[in-house]
Amino acid sequence: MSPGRTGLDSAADDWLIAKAKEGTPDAYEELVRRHRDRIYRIALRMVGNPHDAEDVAQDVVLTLWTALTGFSGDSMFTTWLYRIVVNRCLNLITRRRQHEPLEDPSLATAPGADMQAVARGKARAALDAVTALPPDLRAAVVLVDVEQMRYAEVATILNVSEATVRGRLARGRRTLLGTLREWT
Amino acid sequence: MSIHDERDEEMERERPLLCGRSADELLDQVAAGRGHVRDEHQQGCVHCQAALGEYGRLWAPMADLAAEEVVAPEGRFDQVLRRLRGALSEPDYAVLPGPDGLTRIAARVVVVTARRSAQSVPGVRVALSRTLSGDDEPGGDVVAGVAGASTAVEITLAADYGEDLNALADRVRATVADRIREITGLSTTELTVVIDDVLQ
Repeated sequence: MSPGRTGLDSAADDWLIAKAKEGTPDAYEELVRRHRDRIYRIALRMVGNPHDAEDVAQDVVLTLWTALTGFSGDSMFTTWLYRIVVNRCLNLITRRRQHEPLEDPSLATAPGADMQAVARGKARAALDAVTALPPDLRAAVVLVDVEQMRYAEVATILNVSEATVRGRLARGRRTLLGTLREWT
Repeated sequence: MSIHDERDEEMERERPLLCGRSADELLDQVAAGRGHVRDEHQQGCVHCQAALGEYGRLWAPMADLAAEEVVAPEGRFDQVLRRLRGALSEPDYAVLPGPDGLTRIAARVVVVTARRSAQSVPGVRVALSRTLSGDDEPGGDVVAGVAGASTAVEITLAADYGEDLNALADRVRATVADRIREITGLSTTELTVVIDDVLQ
């Protein structure tokens, strides 16, 4: 039985990668089309605002095109892709900290006020709480608790042990819970 | 004082509930969406029930965030893909004459239409397409004559394993030709289907 057409399908990914490496640009475009929502979603939840998330996504699409020839196929394409996305986000967060000591204006709105906005308030408040986490804890929380990935895959993406993922997750969740408790 | 008043996270981690259960494990349970699935101890323990209830309430915004549908904005992705395409090939156009002027349709539009419609056919796992110029010159225009605009398209696809491939190719041809006519007004004079692989 075939996986969903827009869902994850590693056999189809591998086929498209082979075609892209043979020089079929359309194959690369299709590969990006299949994964772009997830690329953008992870970026949005790591960096906290659409503008930076789009920057990251654009950067990933360009990087991937040149890096694809180096993809050995030892790991799943998605694992390799998400590692690129997370690393780009971490780079951006580091740069932002160096150059912009003040918080992003879009995050400066009072989280308490967000909690009261019925339509989008709760998810937005959670996003604010997630993006307030230190970057290494944030990556673990985004990938496991928001993106619902398995510990083993997250460990490979972050290039750390599964025990480290669990440790970061526990610390991240406790911090999140504290933040959400203060806001309610 | 409940553990929820505890502000020192490190202490909270170290300190189990009064019943001896780990607070971290309960949070783990809630974060995994299993807060309502309680074991025998939890069913009879007020400490666990209170903690699971409290964690469930506090964690609800995270569950909302995880469930939120996020669609990537088209603009930036298209922009960067256009840049890559521009570096790789020159655009081709079909020309449709009309009473008040010409309509130019990029070969790209035909390619995308063909690919997407081919992928909508049950049994097709993944598909790619390209236009074929009338005189087989790479990069040539899609031919459009006054008697009716036309295009030739090649679809390369990987099928689901176990499909009747001849029947699948016929279904792809019919679906793609209809869709191209519907969207672009071009009639497809030749539609080659290359079944490149079958995927489990």
